[in-house]
Amino acid sequence: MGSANSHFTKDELQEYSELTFFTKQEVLHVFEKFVELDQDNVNNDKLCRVSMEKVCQMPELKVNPFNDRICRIFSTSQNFDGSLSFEDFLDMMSVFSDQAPKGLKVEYAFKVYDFNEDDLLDAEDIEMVVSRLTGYAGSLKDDEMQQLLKNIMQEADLDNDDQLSYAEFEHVISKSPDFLNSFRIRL
Amino acid sequence: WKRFKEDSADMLRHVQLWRTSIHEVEGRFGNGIRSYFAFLRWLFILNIYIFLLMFVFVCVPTVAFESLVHSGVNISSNSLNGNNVSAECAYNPYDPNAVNSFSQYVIWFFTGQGFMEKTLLFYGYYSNSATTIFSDGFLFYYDIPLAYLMVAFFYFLLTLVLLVRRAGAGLKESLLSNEDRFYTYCNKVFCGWDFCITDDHSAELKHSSLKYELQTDLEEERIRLRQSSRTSKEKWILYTKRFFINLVVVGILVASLVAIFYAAQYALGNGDTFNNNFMLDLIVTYLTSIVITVANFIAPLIFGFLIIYEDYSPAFTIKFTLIRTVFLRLASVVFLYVVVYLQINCKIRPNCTFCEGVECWETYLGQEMYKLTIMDFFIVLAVTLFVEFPRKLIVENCSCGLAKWWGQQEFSIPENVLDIVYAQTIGWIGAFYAPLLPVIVVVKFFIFFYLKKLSLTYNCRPATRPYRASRSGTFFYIILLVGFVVAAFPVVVSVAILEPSKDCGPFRGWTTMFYAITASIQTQPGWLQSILWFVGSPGFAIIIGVLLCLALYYFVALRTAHKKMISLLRDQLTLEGKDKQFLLSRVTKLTK
Repeated sequence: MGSANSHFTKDELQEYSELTFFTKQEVLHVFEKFVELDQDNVNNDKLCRVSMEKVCQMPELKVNPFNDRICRIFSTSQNFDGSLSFEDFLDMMSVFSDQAPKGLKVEYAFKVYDFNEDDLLDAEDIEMVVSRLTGYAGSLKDDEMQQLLKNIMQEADLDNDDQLSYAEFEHVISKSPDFLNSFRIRL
Repeated sequence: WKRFKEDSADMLRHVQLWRTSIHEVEGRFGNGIRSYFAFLRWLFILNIYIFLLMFVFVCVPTVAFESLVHSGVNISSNSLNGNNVSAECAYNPYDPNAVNSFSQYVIWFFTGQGFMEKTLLFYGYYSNSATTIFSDGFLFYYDIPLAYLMVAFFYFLLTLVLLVRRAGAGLKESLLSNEDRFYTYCNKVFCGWDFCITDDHSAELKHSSLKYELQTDLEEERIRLRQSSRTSKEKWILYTKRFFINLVVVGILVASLVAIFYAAQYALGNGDTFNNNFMLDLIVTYLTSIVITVANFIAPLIFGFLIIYEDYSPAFTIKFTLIRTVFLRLASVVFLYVVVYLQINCKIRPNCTFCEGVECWETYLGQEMYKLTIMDFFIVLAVTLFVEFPRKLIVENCSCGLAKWWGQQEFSIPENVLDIVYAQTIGWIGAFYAPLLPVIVVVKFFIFFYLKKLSLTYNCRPATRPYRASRSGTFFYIILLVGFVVAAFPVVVSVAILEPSKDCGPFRGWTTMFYAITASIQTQPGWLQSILWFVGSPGFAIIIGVLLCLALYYFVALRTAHKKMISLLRDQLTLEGKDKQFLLSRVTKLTK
């Protein structure tokens, strides 16, 4: 605790806690976690960027099938390599915290699932999501996947264009009872 | 602080018995098999409660008072009714002075006769005395017949309460998940992964269970489509097939019951004659159990074979097979009870008012239950060890046609659930006539858990037909409730109506077992007596009945109102979706 205090001024801490959903204590706790990821570099320069591989070594992200997507969408790196600075990391943890409002989480969930980053969830994206979900257990057979896609489109696609826009996605997810419980990371 | 509450709930769940084993099973084999093991664990704990009740309130006092008599404490036990039975009618199953061969003792151990009859295990051992201990001006009065009856009543009540609570909770859950037919696929795909998982092992389990759930849903949908797309002609053929198969099923049931009847009669008639042939003796005494177990073994195989032709959805197939097998198993137990009862009202020896061959019918019933429990246990053990393991070895190592056709073992949930419901029903009836039987049942379930888990991991492949299992979990408890009613009914009838044996057990000499309670009521002060008499009278029952009917009507009305509300809200949701669609199209039009 003492060493972390010396990294930030009071003003910086105040600013961070206002911009995110964390209290000052929690901001410092997040910083500790950040330091653990890549001790040497961060201790030298707290504004440095930690590579995507190192971030995905974090226990909360290690087994997550979407860890690379998460890193990419929160990364503000110029060369799109998914590396995170502390501010990116803080942003990420703040969105995943319990205090973040549902609307914000839905927005980021949409970005996570949008693999080809075209602001639409088409069949390709959903197929990727499903295969990531089944992971180790092997993927579904082709006809099962097609049936699943058809069902999802039937449920969510309101304008029948075979892809889910953000509005349609938001409509479905906000009715879902499990979303808030699943889409969070507790530190 | 919310986190603390969540952590403590987590910890409580960690402490649960066998939690890791059940979690592993869930991941590898799906929800249905997991609910089987959770069910087994629940029954195990229930039996521990029953055993503790019986042990603490009946067995321990009996033993304690006997030993205290010899230790000089001021204790006096008086028989609660003065009738003494003449010597020629006295109940004397075992003569400790006679010389018996070792094989005789072994037979007696397995059939519960001979020296086993005079132990705490059976009803006949308990005395009908009330004991008073007087020490240091402190009077301790303990009435054993009353205690016996109250404990029996209490454990039935406890079981009923726990069972109804569990079945009710499960029913609520399944109703809720039924209503949630909206957006199930989207929910599973987009909110399925729990981002809080940090452990490799849990992640693997989550991956497998997600895959299973998706496949299950898709399979069910395919079947529903197939069912709705049947032509009229196909339907007629299907219905005739189903009709004939049901006839065959009823025929098998009747045949098994008749076989049990004859076996029970034979065993009852010849059970006392001991030849010197060890195996023959054992078989004769175990005849009823053997017939029941064989019938219970063969019939489900036939049912399982037949139901394939009836072409139901996987969930319904399981339920229907369960119902049929339940019918058979519970009917056999009740039938046995009825046969023994019929034998009680048989030929009467002059001067004594009990039957030849069955002097202490309660102990005889207890022995039958004991034999059934042991037989059931050995059969399951034998089948697992001698059929399932070799099957796996053969299928793995030999690539001949027979092995390929037989295939690897699949864990059949209905059969295994029936096994334990059956064992539990026998346990409930047996607990009244053989107070230490719950301990045997506890040990049996404990061994079952590990045996089944072992067999599952080594021998079985995951189900090729995944099915919705959470509903089956509730269904198990409902079947158990049926078993409970089947077990409770004969016991209640025997307590209220049948005459207990004249020379054995805690109720000897009275007209009915219930008299223990009436006798003790009569010793209570006047005001308490009149209250209790009123509670037992028909007037009170009518009042309670009317109140319950009113409550039932109120809840039914509430339920209809809620259902209407739900369909209204659902319509609103679809309308909302349509509104959004409309607005979206307007927006796109305007932006063009």
